[in-house]
Amino acid sequence: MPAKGDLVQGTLEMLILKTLALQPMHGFGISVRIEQMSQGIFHVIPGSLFPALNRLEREGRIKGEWRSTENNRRGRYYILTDLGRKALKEEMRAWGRQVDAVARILEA
Amino acid sequence: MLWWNRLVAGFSALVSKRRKRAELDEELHAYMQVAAEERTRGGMSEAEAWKQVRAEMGSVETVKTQVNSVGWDSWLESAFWDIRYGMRQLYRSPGFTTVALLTLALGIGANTAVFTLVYGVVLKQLPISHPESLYRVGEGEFYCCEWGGLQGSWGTFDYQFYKHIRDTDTSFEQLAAFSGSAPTYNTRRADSPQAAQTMNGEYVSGNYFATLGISASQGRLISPFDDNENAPAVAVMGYEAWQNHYGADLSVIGSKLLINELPVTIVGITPPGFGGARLAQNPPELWMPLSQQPAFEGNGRKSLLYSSGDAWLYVIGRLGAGQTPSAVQSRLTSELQQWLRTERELGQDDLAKLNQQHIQLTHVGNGVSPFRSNSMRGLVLLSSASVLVLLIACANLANLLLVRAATRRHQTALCISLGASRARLMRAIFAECTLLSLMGAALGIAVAYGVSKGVLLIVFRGANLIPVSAAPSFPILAFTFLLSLLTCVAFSLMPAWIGTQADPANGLHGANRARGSHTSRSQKVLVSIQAAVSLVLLAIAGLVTESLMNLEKADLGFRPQGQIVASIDFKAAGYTPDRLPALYQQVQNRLEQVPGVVSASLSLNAPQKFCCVSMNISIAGNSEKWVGNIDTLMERATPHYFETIGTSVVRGRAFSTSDTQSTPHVAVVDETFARRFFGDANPIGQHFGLSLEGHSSDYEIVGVAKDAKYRNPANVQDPMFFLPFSQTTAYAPSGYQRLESGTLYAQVIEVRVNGTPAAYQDTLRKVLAEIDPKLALIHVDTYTDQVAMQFNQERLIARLTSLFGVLALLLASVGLYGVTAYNVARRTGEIGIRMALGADRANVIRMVLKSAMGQAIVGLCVGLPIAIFCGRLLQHQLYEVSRFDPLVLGGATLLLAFFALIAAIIPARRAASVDPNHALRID
Repeated sequence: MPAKGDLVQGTLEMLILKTLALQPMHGFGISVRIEQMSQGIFHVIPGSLFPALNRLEREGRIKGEWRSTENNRRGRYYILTDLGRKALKEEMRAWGRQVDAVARILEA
Repeated sequence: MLWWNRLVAGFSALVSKRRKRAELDEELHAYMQVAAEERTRGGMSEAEAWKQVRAEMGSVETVKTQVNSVGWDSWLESAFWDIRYGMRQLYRSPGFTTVALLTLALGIGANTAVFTLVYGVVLKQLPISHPESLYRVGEGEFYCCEWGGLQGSWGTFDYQFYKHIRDTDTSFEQLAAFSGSAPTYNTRRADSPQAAQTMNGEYVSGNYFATLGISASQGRLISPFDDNENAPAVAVMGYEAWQNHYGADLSVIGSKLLINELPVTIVGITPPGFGGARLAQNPPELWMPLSQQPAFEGNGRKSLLYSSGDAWLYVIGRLGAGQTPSAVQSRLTSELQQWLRTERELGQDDLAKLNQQHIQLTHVGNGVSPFRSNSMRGLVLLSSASVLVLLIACANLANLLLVRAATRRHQTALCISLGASRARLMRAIFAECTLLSLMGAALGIAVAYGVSKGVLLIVFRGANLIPVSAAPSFPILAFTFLLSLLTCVAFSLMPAWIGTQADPANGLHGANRARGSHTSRSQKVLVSIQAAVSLVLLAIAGLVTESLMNLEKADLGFRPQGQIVASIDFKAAGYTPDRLPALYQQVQNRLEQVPGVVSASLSLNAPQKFCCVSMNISIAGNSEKWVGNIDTLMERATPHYFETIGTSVVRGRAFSTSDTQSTPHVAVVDETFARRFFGDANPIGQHFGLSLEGHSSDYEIVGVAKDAKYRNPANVQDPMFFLPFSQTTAYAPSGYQRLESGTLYAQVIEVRVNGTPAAYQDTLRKVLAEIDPKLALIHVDTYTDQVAMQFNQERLIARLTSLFGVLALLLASVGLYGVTAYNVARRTGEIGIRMALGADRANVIRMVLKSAMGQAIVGLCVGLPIAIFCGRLLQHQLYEVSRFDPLVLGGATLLLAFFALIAAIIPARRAASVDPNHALRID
């Protein structure tokens, strides 16, 4: 079991995509949502979050947009694109296969 | 698609960098704001919340750098910064930059120049389509076997065999033949009174141009329809000849040219740069179908074209689909053996050798070359020497960089303590070195152009057209570019590694004191290597130069001084053999009437000029088999030949005007001939002849001449005999008959004069023009120049290796000087203390010299055995140079030691004049 804060290698981008699948969000929102959904197990620090967002945006999987936040400030919201949606589906499937495989090995 | 998005995103990030950065700033700021608000809402004090948020974020700058380094564009950007930084560094240290650039320019330039030669001679492909798939049937540069005879590994063939394989063998898509030799023809336009010009010509099969896959730049090229004895006579002219002789006059195409007085229609012009499939000093300028050969030879059905056994054609072709060279090769070999068995009447000896006869298929995309195999060894030597020079240059640069790294220790330590990674610092050094290398390479190309131009003039002195170009072409530029990158890695790797090793704590203390650091040890090793390599180069240069001097001093057995020599073509001027003896007599008499001329003669070949017809002989009364196996050289000459060239007749007599067709046929032999065939017996009065049934007593020996070197003095010369032009032997129709009439045409005129020979060149031309305006001299030279030309290649190698040796010596000296001077500067404080404690000038000088000369001596100790080893490797290429030459090796060692001493003594004296008071105040 990974200690609190540790992310399984290479899953951050998938988690971001999954978070955005529900609704567009800004950076802080994403990190809070990941922490909530993992019930506090995963904690994403800005040093990993922002490079990952930039990478996803460059790949066209998400799209950044300036909007006003709930407290009427400007915030950069990220929206899942069609490409991102497809990528998420793909990654979830691959992830599922991997988890199954690992589980089978561990149960053997 | 993903890569496409990444690419586009990278570009857009580069373009709108400022906006993207501002957005990121704002985004991060907003993040922290929201995060802090979230925490205060949870009941935390604002100050505590911000503290936590900041702790979580870490350095905002670091996050920004991480975000920005996500795409490929960040790499480009940092490279750009590295280059800018490098430029600034170079600009700020002009001394370092100048020395480094000069060193690089010389090192890279030397290599580019040598590569230009290698490329031109070995690698450059013919200007034809798909040169890589052009094969030659046969190998080697044979012109030995025109009159039948087995070649072992075959290189040239008679027309009948060519026709046979062209028509029966299906291995080739196209199979063409060309005559290879390029005899000169007198040409003039039939429709204009213009004076005749001499042009080199070549006979080619009708499919020659189609096989090469080239098309005419004007008009058309020769087609198979032209190569037919009933077809009208046509010829194709070379582009360069058309430009130079006819001013690119379009009316030449379709007009009639009188070639050796025979009317021939010029149907087209070759593409520019085409000089035949054979790289030659005098490339063909006219191409005519093989079917026209008999008309020019004038022997009807007895001509070369119809003969069987006279191997005068080179055969080239393109393999058909699915054919492998090895399979075709063995098929052709058995074809050849079969052909020889059925079509030739071979004697017992030849039949025994039949199964050794074979055909090798060779790649000739780079042209059939007469000089490639000869030059190969020289090129290898030059390439190695130039690489060594570059190695020394690299060592020098590495040294300079090490010195600089040492002076920058403080700065480096600061950078590392501020968080720069070692890789980042090394990258900056690499960027700077790449810049240096590329600039050095640009200068090097200029150096190389100059050097190659000079080199080509030496190598191809006396040639009509230089087949190798000095101008930098794409492959040469590419080579230089790659070389400069390689050089950069070679000289910057170690300094970059060592230079970025600074320990921040240590470096920041600001101690500039000398310690036995990595830096100075590596510097010493580098200097020793330089000394060793330059010793090797100097020794090689010495050996090669000694060999050249030996060649030039060699006793050639004749006196080239006071002589002019010219080549001439009586056949092209339209003379038939029966008119020649009288004409020769007339030429000789008229020349000898010119005031100042001592004597004049004509000959078939001449020493160091054209050599030679090689024959086998038989001796009357000696049927032993070895006689017929000795290759013997045959020469023809007029009566005053020996006195003109300055070879004495030691026994008997030379030819005289009373030797005519009706008097007994005579011969003069050289001493080697006399010794080889008659031992101690008196050869005068003995009879011999060519190795042919019934001809063993054709000639009576009337004189013995001293040996003269007709070929390269480094080769052992075969026995030689001389015949007068005025006596001919009748042979049954065969190659011998053609040989006999062919050798009646003198190719060389020699004139011995009082005073400067060069002054007589015009007189010689004038006298011949008076006798017959059609008699054009082809080359006129003083004989000493003619001899000097024979050693062009040796001279080139000697000059270039000497140049490289001197370069290496200078670079190594500069290297030693630099290191010693640097160490002296570094140890100023220490030297001050020593002097304050009572060391005098002599002590200090001795101390510095000891260390500097120590490095040089280590270099010498390493270099000497290598130099001796290289000398042994080279020995077979050197003329009369012993394996171990103490003079050359000692000279090289002394020279190097002397330069090392000078390089060390300058900084040593400076060290000795250190003022202790001043020195101790520095730290």
